[in-house]
Amino acid sequence: MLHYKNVKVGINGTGLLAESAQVDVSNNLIPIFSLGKKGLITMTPNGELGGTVTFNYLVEPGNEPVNGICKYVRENAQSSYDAYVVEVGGISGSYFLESYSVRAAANDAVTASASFVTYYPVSGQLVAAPMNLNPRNNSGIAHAYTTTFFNGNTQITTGKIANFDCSFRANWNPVYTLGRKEPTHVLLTSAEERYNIEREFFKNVTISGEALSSNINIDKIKIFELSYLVNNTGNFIDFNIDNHFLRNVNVDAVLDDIVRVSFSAEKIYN
Amino acid sequence: MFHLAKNCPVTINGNEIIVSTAEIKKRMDLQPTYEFAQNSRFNSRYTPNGIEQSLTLTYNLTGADFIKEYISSNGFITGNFGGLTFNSGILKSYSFNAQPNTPISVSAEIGIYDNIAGAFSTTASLATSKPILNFSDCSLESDSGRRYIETAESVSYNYTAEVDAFYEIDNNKNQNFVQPTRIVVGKQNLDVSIVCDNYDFNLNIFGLSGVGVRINCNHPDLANPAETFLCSGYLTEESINGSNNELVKKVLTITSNQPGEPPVITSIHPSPLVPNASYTIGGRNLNNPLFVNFGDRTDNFPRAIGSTQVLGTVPRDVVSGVIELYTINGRAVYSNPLYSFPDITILNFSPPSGLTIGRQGLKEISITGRNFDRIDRVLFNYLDADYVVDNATYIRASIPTGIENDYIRVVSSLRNKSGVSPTKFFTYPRIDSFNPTSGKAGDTIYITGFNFNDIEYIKFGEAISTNFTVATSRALSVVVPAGPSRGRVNIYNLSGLSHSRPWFTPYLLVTGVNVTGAGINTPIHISGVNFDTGIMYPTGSDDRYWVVFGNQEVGMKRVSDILLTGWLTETGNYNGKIRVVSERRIMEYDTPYSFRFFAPPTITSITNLANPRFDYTAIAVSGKTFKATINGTNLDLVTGVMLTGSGVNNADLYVRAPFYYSNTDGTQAFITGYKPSGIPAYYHTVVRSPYGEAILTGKVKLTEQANIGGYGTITQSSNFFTTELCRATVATNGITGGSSGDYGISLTQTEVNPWWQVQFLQDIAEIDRVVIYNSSGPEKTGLSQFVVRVGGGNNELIYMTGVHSGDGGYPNLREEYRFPTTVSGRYVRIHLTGASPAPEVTRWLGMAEVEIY
Repeated sequence: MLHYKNVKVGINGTGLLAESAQVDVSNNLIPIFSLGKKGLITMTPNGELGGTVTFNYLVEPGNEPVNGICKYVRENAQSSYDAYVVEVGGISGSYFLESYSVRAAANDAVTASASFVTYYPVSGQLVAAPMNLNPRNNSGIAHAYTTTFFNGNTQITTGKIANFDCSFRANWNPVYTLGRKEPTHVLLTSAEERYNIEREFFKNVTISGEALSSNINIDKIKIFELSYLVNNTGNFIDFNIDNHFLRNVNVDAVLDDIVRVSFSAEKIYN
Repeated sequence: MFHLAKNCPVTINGNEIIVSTAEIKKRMDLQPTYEFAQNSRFNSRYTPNGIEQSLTLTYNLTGADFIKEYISSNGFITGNFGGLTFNSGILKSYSFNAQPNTPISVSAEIGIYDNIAGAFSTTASLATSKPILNFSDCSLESDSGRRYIETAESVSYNYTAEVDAFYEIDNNKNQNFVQPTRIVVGKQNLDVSIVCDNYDFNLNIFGLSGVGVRINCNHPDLANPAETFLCSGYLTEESINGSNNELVKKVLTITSNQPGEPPVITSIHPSPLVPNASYTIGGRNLNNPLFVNFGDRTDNFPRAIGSTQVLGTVPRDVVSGVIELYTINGRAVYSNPLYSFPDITILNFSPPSGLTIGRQGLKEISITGRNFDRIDRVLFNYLDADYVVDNATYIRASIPTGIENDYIRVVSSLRNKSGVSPTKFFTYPRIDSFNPTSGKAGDTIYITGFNFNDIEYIKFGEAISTNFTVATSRALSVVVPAGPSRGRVNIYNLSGLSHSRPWFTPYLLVTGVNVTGAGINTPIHISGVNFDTGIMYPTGSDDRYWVVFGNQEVGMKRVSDILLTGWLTETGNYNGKIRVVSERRIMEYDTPYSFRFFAPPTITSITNLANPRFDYTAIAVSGKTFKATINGTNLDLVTGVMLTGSGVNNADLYVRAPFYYSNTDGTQAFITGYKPSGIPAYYHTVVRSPYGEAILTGKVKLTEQANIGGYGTITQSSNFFTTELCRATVATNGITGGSSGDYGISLTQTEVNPWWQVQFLQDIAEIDRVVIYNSSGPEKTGLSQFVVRVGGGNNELIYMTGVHSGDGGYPNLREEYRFPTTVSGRYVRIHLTGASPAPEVTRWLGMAEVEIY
């Protein structure tokens, strides 16, 4: 029996403060029947073997591998990619980043979720990892308190964002050839990035779209680890808002609450 | 009621297949009729134009697809669909479009040209599990080898055939179906489209012929290949397609221009096949041959005789391998043809020999012969050489370094043939060392080196030895030949190539000489080893060779290898080392033997020894002892000394000296004796040896007794000093005075009863007195209480004086002891002793001179 405390979640060997993790592997079998015959002839493959691994975790700016992978994919959209080794509880495989989202909400720790996809068989068995609690991790998580906003090098202190989340998604194209059960290589066909931010100011949406950064006067978000509150410095992850086209503005007015304006902007990588 | 598909059986040619969809159909070709004023409405009456029937199937492959075989055979297919049966089915289309990781699913349409019989019925057969061929189990390869498709993302295989049915007039055999009297398969089309990542764009108006592709389907649970799809023909279409977020795909379309029956080979003639000779392939469907592969070689010009024979020429450089006949309809394989390959023959090579190393070494030779086909090795002494086969009769090869004489071998491993040169390729032998470097004829010399093969002879200097044993190509032993063997050692092989190395020194040893010296005509035998004529210097006559005696050469006759004999014929300077002169006077063989030429004695003078009183002016005393010294040469060889009378008195008398001896170098002879009474006082002195005699006339006059104290072996009981000054012989040096501090005396150590004596070589007659001179120094006190003793041959007592009574010193410097009568003895001793009865005396004994008369 494997207890959650002993489940190691890691990407290329870097562990995460995962709150949940799922590993899913599936094939594509179809049944073969025959006219004039009762029953099944056989089940035969009718598509690739594939799998995903998803996890939700608390972000540690000093120990955040997925953000780096996401950055790499964004910045090298024309290149070929190597898979990353993702491990959950001793089960590991070669995975490609499929989605990644980070959410910062007022008064909450910053959380992230990531999803990786594979087209290869996974390996390993469920094994318990020793419980090595690293005290450093306890003070290294990110929080809404340590989420800062910049326009250029100027930190914005007024009219800030109440909530924001950034989600990234990559679309992969495995290339198979005859005679192979596994792809010869995996290509990145496209990627997209979406920001959802919540403010209290309204901004109109134009038919041709406008850059989000010019609307909200913010072009970079830095999320520091919690020790930033004490030291005013520390590890951080950052998100650049540039050429993300504003697609949607939603004004939400409900009883007993302030009116919130949600902006949604996206950027396509190809 | 409706039935389920699982109750609807489908069999083709009686075989069950895994059908996923099936449709059997009849369709009437209705010719509508129209009537005037009916405003284009369909009249209820009709005119039938015939009925089309077909069975359309979609099925999965579980192995070889027998339906696919109808693409080429065009035979009739029988079938059963839910109890509806037919017997005259013709395959009209056959296709699949396959993606990786999907099962192979084939769609086929069978045209039916007989009346479908039977009635729909159901069955309840139970499915049997079977493996389904999947495209992930397949591989794609080019069929002809002329175009290679590395990868394929998907492939489609499509066949269609136009089927023409021939109907005769008034042939309404069945009211419900007009059956054709003949069915002809017309235009057929087979193409394969491949989606791949080969972005070459090569198609031109001439097309690319000879293009083929084969899809091999393998399954781990089936005999493989489980099924093969082949399409050989022309590349007829190329396209490259791109769309957003998709792969850029290249689509190749290969069209087989006339799908038909694939060829079948039933016989090969001749068997075995002979390269570069005609062949005949027998079989079926052999028309339109494209090419024939014989293993990895191709005959590109096969000729068909009808559809049953293909003629051509077996490629000259063919090796064993299967025969593949390609026609436009496919490929036929003959798996185990027999081949008969001609033997490889090497006729000649040039140059036939040479040095293979160094800057002057040979780099290349040419080899001529026959059947130099598929050569993969050229060997020299089993070492691989780089080579170029210019043609089947000519090879140029680089000679490997470090080879030995050996045959050249040309090998075709693929044909399992090899040829060997008629003669060996010769290269130089090499001597690295030989040992020993000196020896005599018959000795064994061990030579190490390289390439000691085919050795013809070995030369030592100018002497040739064929007596050798080759142990390995790098070591041999050889017997040193007789003759002039001094010089370089040369080793020659049969091709005349040689190598030499310095330096062999013949060995001549003298082990003995029968004499240490000889005179004229005395036989001299020199024994030894290796008195080889080749290493000695001949005199030019009578098999004689020069031998050096001292400083003069003598011709010695060679009796055998171990003996030289000869003699001296004249006097000369022969004294010194014996040496044998080598050939050409290169050197002289040293020996440990010295030679003495025994020349006749000569006398140059006669003197007395340290006694001036002996002179020939004095009056001779008859019957008294005398001594004399003869000076001359070769006196040590003297065997007798005679004093012969001379003058007018007794010319014929002589006296033989009773005692004589010579010093070792023969320059002096010492004689002692006594003068007989009644003979003249003047004498000639004659010395005789075996080698002659010498006479000194009128030189000797015996006048006086002689002091003979110095004639003999003089010893004393001990020596006080180790210096010459105190030796016993000092007492006979003729100096009658002195002490140990100046001229010297004989002086013993302080000991009990010391003595001094002279031992003559033989008994001396008529000894009548002894004169003793004491030391003038402090040693003089030692000479007291002594006796003078004369001993015989064994030193037994002959006569002894009384003890000198004086004690505490010798009173006079000179004291004479005259015997009462003369005595004859060999020993004269001065011996310190005590008074009678004699106590022991412990003292030294020192004397300046002792004279004995």
